[in-house]
Amino acid sequence: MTSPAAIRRMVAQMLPAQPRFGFITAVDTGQQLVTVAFEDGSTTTSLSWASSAYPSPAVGDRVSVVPHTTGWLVVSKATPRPVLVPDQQVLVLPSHNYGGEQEIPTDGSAPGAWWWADTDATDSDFSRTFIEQGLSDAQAGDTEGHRPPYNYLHATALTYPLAASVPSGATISQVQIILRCSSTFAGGSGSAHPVAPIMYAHTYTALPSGAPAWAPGYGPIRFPTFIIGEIQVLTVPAAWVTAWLASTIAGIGFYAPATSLDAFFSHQDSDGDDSGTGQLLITYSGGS
Amino acid sequence: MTDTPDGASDDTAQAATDPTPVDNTTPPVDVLRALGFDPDTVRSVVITSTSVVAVAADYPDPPVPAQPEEPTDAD
Repeated sequence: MTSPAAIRRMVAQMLPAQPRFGFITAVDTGQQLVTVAFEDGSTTTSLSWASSAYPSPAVGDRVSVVPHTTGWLVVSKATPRPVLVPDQQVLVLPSHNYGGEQEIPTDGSAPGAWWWADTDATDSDFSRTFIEQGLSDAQAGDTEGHRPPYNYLHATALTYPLAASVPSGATISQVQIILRCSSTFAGGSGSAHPVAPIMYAHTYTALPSGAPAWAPGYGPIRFPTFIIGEIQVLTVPAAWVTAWLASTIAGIGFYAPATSLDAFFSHQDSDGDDSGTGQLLITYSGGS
Repeated sequence: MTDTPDGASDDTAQAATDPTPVDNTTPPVDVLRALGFDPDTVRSVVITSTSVVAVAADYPDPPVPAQPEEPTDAD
């Protein structure tokens, strides 16, 4: 009678060899051979590769290795094994909030100065997250002081410590700014007029002077409209994030020379609002 | 060492875990691997004197068109 062990050996010999996955650890282009470390810990040297389907093996590639008539053959680069690294998120307050407001007389006389406020960590969260864009309705002048009616043109430039907010080695999967529509002004303060945030990038590292000079090639981006009380979480484009990390840009801003777009976007209320308005929401994984 | 996928070698297994040496001739994809990133999952990596941070390849860009000009009330 055939023993159970013998039967198992017979069955094993009848099973076809299965494709396997491994990582290339060495490439010998002269001999056209690679070394593959398999995922079970074993390593095999002197494996050929299918040059038509996989012309350029490289150290570190995850590859599939299949049985062939003359042995084993590296046939293709395989999809990287999914790495289930949980995302982490961090909320970041502005390191600087440059407030811009220019008074523009309606009689055509010279407009006023521009930037007036640099709020930072020494100021309240309320003032650091105070964001305004747009052109105000005409404001009443002053007959006694011979001040003509005027409009206010608003801009806000924000800096955040982006790179310093994630650990070295991290991969950023999204950067967003949380805005709440706090007030709109077209047709009267507090109107239900919907307003679109208009986002720019800037290079300011100190309180600017003169008219806003936004970073060329980065926006403006018009986001969907929202009304008073609503919150939007706006995604900063990936190209901006790369430029920001490289200090090609210093931050983002909001600006729109239009009365229909005049609005306060976001500030942390003194009544304990904890929605993160005015803050940067960074989603990342990995890192030391 | 062995010649079959079923064998194992301590030497080459150790080599697989050693850091990849990098110099100015190293292909960028190998530099990314040496920094601990999978080249297929990142779209950019920014290296400064204090940190190395990547931007994910599947970063979701905002679904809004860029405006070529400043918005005005005419919009």
